[in-house]
Amino acid sequence: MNIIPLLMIFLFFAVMLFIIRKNLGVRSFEDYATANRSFGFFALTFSVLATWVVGAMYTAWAGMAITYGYTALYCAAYAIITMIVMYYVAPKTYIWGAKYGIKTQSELLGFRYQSKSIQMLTGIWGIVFTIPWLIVEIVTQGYVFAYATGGLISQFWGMVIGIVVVTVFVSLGGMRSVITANVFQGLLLIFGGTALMIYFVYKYFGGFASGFEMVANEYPEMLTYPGPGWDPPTPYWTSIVILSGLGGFLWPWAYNKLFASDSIRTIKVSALLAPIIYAIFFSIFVITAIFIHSYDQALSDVQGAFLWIASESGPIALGSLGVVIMASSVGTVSGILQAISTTVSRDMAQVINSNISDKRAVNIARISVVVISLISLLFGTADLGLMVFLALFTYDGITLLFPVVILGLFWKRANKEGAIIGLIAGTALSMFLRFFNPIFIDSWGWQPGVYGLILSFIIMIVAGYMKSPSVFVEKLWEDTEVTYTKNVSDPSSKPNSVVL
Amino acid sequence: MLDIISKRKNIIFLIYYSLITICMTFPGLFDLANKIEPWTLGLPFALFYLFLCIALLCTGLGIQFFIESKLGELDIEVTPIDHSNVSGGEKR
Repeated sequence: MNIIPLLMIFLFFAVMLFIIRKNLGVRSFEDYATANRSFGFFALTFSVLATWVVGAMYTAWAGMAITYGYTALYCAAYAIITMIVMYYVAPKTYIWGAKYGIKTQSELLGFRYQSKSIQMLTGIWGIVFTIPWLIVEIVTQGYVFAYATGGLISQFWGMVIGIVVVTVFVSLGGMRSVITANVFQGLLLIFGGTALMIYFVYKYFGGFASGFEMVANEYPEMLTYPGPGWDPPTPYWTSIVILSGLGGFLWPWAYNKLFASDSIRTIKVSALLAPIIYAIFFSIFVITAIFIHSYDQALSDVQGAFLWIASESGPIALGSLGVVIMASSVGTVSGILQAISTTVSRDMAQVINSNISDKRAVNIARISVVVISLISLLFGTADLGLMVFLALFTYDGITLLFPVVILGLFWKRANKEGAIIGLIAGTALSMFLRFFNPIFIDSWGWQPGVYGLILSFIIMIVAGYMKSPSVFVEKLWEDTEVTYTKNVSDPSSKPNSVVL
Repeated sequence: MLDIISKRKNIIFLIYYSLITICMTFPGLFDLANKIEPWTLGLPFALFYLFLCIALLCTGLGIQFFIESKLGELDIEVTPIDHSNVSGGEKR
């Protein structure tokens, strides 16, 4: 066994902890949840990317890209839609968040609809549909440790090492340490990951032009939808791009980052930069995977193909890929743990008992991090294939938050009755179609989430016209317009500076 | 007046994003582009088409950002109200 990959991974952990050392020991819940709304566009952009790019991309998603080729590019397509959603929700989320001290996505919705039920319900939605991702990522960390050390560190102990490091810095540092670490992870995974892919392309395929030529001659179906070995109709492509695009920013671990930003400008610059960086990064990854399809060894174990080709390139390459995967995974896991713990404290404990002190709220969040980590570790010993299966279907559930968020932010008539019934009925329909899989799902291609989304929109719109907007909502809209108009009426008097 | 410009601008850009998204994903238009030939800028046509759609969406966002910057919509200053109510203003 070569010890270099293991040393590189430990070095990554050491540097990350060194960078965030001053952020540990957060004392107020505001700081734990939002880092006192202090981060600029650079931090927010790389934090969104670090949270978004999962470690399983190099295992589970690599399997999809190596097997089906072009279809895996749906991620690059949906990323830009997700960022357009982020761009549009930014102003009201920021204004209401800063003005009324809102700290989470669920609290924002509870505030808008004036409903504790919605706050708790959306909080539960966020946790339930997020947990499978957390487990997949923890398992990925264990897998990388086991592969990089040639089995010296078993998958289980790899998972333990990964989750202990993340638990420590999330519970002690909250949002501030998560975002600071995310910047380091984001830079590593984007630039390191892209550089590695380009290295593989030139080392094994002689460059992009010759790689494409080889694929066009030998496996041309890899270059178009849907790829070899299956034949879903085009609406399948439409569904996965649209559903992932609309739902991609509604994960609490992504949305809650908006409350850590220092201005609307910051959020919008990030929404502009993130999809460009991600599209370049992810496209190079998929193109490399398409080229790797030509190796029989890769096809025999598609999920381990990238680690295999890295190990063929020497210990430095294997260690580098291990660090990139670990950076991707730790970025996602830390974002998820921070978001779930904040939700448990803010959207559940403080809703049930509004007299919880600030110090106790922080402690509840910290204990939640430890409990969730232990539960995830327990489930991490289950079958990974099952977890990836569950993780992919979570989009059917999280996308159903889209009507609740969008209509809540932009339509005065949206009300809590419609939101609750729409969310539950839409998710129920979506899950029913997913698990019972009636024949039209495969033959037409439209995925279950599409039907659930349409039902949810219909329910919310019908409910919206059944009664007039509440006095609270009228006042909220009026206040928001006053805040907005007061600032926009004299743009020349305001600075155009951007905070890093 | 500014509010009307802002609302119209948002709707116009939303229509633009929707049209590009339809071209990028919906049956019919997507199927027309889902082919290898002609190779464009060294890429199979399907990849080139997808990247073109993504580039057009990013360009739209860039233009919208530029307009909003000129209109002063990106530097809204918000004065926090009393945070003593942890619900963020929601009645308990």
